[in-house]
Amino acid sequence: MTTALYSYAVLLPFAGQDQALEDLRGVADRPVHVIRAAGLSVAVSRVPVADFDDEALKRHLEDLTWLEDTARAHNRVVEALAGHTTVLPLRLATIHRNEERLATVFAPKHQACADALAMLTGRQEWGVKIYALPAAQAPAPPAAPGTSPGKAYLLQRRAQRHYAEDSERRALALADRMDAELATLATASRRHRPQAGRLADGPGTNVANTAYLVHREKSRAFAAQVEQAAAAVPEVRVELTGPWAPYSFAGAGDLS
Amino acid sequence: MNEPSSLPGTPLQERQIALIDLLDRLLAGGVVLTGDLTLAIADVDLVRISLRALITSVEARLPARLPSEEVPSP
Repeated sequence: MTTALYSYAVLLPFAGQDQALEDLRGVADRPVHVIRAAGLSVAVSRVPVADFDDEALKRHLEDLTWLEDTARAHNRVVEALAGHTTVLPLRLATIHRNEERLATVFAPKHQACADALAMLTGRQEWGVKIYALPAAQAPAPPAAPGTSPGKAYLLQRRAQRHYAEDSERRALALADRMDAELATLATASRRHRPQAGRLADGPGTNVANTAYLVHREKSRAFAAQVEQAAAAVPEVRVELTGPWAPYSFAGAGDLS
Repeated sequence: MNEPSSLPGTPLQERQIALIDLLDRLLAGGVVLTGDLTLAIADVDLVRISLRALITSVEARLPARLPSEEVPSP
């Protein structure tokens, strides 16, 4: 079987890392190793080229089941490492032919990776998503006596639309306010695209989807701040996710 | 609030992570290296195309910036 190297993350080496990785399985159910490339420690798996070359990837990435399995396996490895040390996650499906090629690609990035690892040490990523509630929950306006059914319908529609607009305005206003408050507890923030489509299955319209890089010592205060701000605006739904490995902050500086 | 996920220090793998949150991070985050077998995903529109169906932009669905239509007064 011809293999290639699938890389998950750069990491700060830690004592007992070989034992920590022993039972771990990564993408394609392959074992995980740490190798040295251009003076950096990189977590990798040897994967069959036949499943990860150009042609195969084009096919696989269109397959939601494959994408999900691979994304979860990638995250499993990154998370396991993040439990022990500082990690600098790599983008999904970073693949090289062999160690030599990996070292060649990393060589010019050595300093940027070292700087990024130093910046990320002791920090976690949190996700904050803010949703406007659906218009279907609009309260029905009282119909005036003698209102025709047609007019009553239009009024109902208008009330629903206004409720939806108000709900989105409230959600966006809360998003701005929370962002300002949370920025005081975070090292950095990054806005992701609001979520929509069939994978976004929660109630409401997602109007803000922001990742924050937070020092571990401030994580509890950060979560409490989110909860407090969310409770103050009942018409808006707020979802906190994390802690994550610092995916959203791995491409900063010279690594972008 | 999703209460279980709001506790700092809870190992992530013990919770069910929404795929959409994971894809936000794995397809738009992480260090992008030049790969050998394609593969800088950022340079390939493939994933964007495939994800467009899943994660369509919310912009088109936000009517709040449009002027209100006239409704007869009661």
